[in-house]
Amino acid sequence: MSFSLNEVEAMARKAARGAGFDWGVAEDAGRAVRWLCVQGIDGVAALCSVLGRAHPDTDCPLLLGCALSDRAAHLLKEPMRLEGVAQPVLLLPFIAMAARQTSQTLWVECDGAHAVTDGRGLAMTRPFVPKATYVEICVDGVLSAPRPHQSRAQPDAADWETLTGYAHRTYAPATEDSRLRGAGAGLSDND
Amino acid sequence: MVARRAPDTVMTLARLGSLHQSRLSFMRQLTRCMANEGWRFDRRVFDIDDGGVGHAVFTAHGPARAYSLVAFAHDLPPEMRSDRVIATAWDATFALFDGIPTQDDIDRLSRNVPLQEAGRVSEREISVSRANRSVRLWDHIVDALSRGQQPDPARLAEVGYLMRTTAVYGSGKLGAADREVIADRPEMQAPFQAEMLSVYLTRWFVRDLIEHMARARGGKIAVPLAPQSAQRLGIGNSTGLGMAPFLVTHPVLFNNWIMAREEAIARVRSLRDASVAEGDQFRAFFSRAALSVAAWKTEHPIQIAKLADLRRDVESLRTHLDSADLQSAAAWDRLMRWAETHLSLEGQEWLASLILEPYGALVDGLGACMADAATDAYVIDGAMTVRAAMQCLEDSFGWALKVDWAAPENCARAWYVSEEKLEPRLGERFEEPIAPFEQPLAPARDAAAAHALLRGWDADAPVADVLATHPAHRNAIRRAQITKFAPYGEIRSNTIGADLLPIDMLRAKLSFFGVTHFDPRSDRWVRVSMYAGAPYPSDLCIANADDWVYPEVSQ
Repeated sequence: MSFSLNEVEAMARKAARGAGFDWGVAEDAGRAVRWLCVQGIDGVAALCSVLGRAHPDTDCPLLLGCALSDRAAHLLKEPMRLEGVAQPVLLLPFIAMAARQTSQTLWVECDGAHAVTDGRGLAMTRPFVPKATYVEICVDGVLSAPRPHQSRAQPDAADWETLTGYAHRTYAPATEDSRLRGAGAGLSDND
Repeated sequence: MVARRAPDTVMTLARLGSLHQSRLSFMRQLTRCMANEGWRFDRRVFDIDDGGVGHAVFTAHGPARAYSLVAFAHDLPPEMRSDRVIATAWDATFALFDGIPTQDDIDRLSRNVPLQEAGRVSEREISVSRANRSVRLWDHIVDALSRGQQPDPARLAEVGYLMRTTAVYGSGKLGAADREVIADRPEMQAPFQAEMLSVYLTRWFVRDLIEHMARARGGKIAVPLAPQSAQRLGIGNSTGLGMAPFLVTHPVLFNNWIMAREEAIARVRSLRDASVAEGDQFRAFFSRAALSVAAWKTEHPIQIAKLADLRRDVESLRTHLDSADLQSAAAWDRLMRWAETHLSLEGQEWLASLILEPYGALVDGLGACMADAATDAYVIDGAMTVRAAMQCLEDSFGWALKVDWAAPENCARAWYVSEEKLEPRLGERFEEPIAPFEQPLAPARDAAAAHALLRGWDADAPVADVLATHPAHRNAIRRAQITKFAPYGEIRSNTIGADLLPIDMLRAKLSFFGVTHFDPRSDRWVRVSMYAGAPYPSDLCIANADDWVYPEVSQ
């Protein structure tokens, strides 16, 4: 099925929250998955496999990604190296945030695969491995032949169902009381 | 130069809940734009049976692109008529199609749009919406017209619309096109232009539908609705809590709306003097706007009291204007200062919108600044020091730092989303098991918590260090940083207190759409009127594209 990017972002945010991340991290997760989908990369699948793990964990790409983006300015001084990253593809949107913050093109190496981003565009030599032994990021590279941008996402139906399940945990079970009071209606609309 | 009013003054819920439409409202921006560009409109399809079931297509042709309202009319049993999100059927359902739909498109939409949330649309659709009839007015008008008579004007005025929309979705909802798909189009640059266009065409459809129903019943005896009556009718809108979180979740966008209006007010207040013509224009708009206030009906005690205040304010202003010299130095600024001490918040904001009316050339350009193009506003600057972050929090949430957030009355409520059709609701934190499901819609409480945390840190440390171990405060720091360039982005009142009135949040947003006649049904539900007084598409021209919101004073 074809989803709008807003739907993808909203679903990813709610799912991350439902899986136990703080709302602030969940917001960044939503934007990260959206950014990947714009690049034509299945961010939904990547998020699915992250949410299924115990967390917080030291190799969580969402928390590592937030920290990386928060320390973007460090990249102007020296490269960053992360050891052991699950679903390292989810780091890319955060590296892109760092690229935009520093107005630099950033070069990424992940277990031998390479990527370059100026924050908006992305070029990759080959898909990142599901579990990286290392990811290295530095100011370098030229973005040639960036991936074409997509305006829709076509995630795998089972993955979408998985995210829906996590998102569902953010919804309060309906009670008759909340049905009547919570929305503040109760008046007839047949007037 | 008179400065913009301070965020501490503007951003309280009491004032935001007293805002009125203005020249910058999104409906008026749309009708101005369409008239200036000479848009054409046509009814391409009207395939509706005598029972009122079928579909229709109404197309608006702009200079570069066309947009079509694809409308589906249904036969709705009364017991299914609900304006709430939990409804599953409606009197009419709509999609705004990007271009002119083929039969295949219409077939596809006919299988999905009537289902609303349970259906799917595509990137070719920009908006999806639905509407319910005003049962009492609908039946009365069909009955009158079918017998060759015009409906009772008093009953038209009492309700003001034939149908009310109960949701107008855009921005990728239900699979529709994302905002980015249309954001670069000049005609869609201001916020919510697609949604406003959809509602404008819906009003046309509804008029045609009711005349069709009258003909179906009365045959040759039936008459069309008198143009003057039709023009006075708007489209209603029935809005609940779903709209309230939007203001909190879009701080940059909300800032841009408020900032544009505040800048417009400041520009007019900064004028050294008004010409005789401008003064006369203002007085004319005052008289017309006063008629609108006089016609405003509500049954809700809160709004009844506010309306009584506003009517008193209108009379105070009338008396004041009798002797006020609008050609004297800084007349508008003096008028606004007088209002601060003589009028209620309703009256102050009514006047603030009204002084913009003679100055389209000075303020209308600000409409272009109301969209949110700052796509990276959410990116946290982790290098900011703890000291600077605390300063941001104090600047925007100074009031919240003095609140005892542990006191039950200050956190009595919690926003949550119900499992049932994902309806946004507001609950009692200490009476219902909802706290684990709380939505992040209390930025003031969260700001106070973040500030308390930061007090224990080295003032020179970067906030990145704090967030690395305290990710729960990520949103509070993000929002604090946003307020550095978006000073009007945060509501400066408690959004979870026992005394919260969610209708204040609804009104703030709806006022920017340009709606009138706020009629709360409860503290969290409001009905309003859209496009009442506006010309129908076939009559739209530069002369009537803008001031239709004010009734004409009868000679």
